[in-house]
Amino acid sequence: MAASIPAANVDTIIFACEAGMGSSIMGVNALKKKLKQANVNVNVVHKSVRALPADAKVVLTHKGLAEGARQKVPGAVVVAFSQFLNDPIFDKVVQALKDGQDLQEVR
Amino acid sequence: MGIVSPETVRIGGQASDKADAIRQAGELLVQGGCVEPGYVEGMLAREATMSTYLGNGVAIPHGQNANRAQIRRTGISVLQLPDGVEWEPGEQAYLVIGIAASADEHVGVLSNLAEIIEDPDTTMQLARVTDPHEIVQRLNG
Repeated sequence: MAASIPAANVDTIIFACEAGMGSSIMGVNALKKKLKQANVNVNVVHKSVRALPADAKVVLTHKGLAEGARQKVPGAVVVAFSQFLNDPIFDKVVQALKDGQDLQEVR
Repeated sequence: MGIVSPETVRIGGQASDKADAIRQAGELLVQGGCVEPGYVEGMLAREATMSTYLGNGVAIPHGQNANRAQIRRTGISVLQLPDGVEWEPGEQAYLVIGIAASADEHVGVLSNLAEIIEDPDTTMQLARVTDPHEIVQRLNG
């Protein structure tokens, strides 16, 4: 299981929720905006957990869905959060990417 | 026609509680021909696992993956509650946005919604408008 990934290797972040029709899309919007403000050029897309692609590198998902995401894509760094909008973890992710640090898994 | 239409917008609504609000938002989707009636139960079940409250008076109840077969076409309903309904302890929802999505046609509407809720004044203004077209135009963009 991947515990971290160097910022330079992150080209896409996947926002995952259960159905992939509401919450994750709102999360994508919020994160895209934060990345743009920080001048970080990383793509953000939304998926349902069950539709996660095998080559996913970084997955942001709600705590209640994180275990399922880890099973689906064992090779990805899975960052768990509690709120789809404005969770403090999003700022940490943006900061790590901006500073070129490793992105750490969050349980 | 955009994803949001006046037929799936209810102005000046009232809800006794959160479950009532979700049922009403779901019923609008049923009446609009977007979902089977059973989808509404899926919306309630989804809410029970995790709140869809976004902040600033807006919630986006929607179904679960298991309810996808009950979606006839992508649709978004809006239940406007000028008096609000308590969604989270101490948090009132004034705009309840019901979502049924078979694909990604509605992403633009949710992007518009994301912009709207960033400004509490805009949100509260939409929570009080009396013409459904104002909400329709704002969300369809």
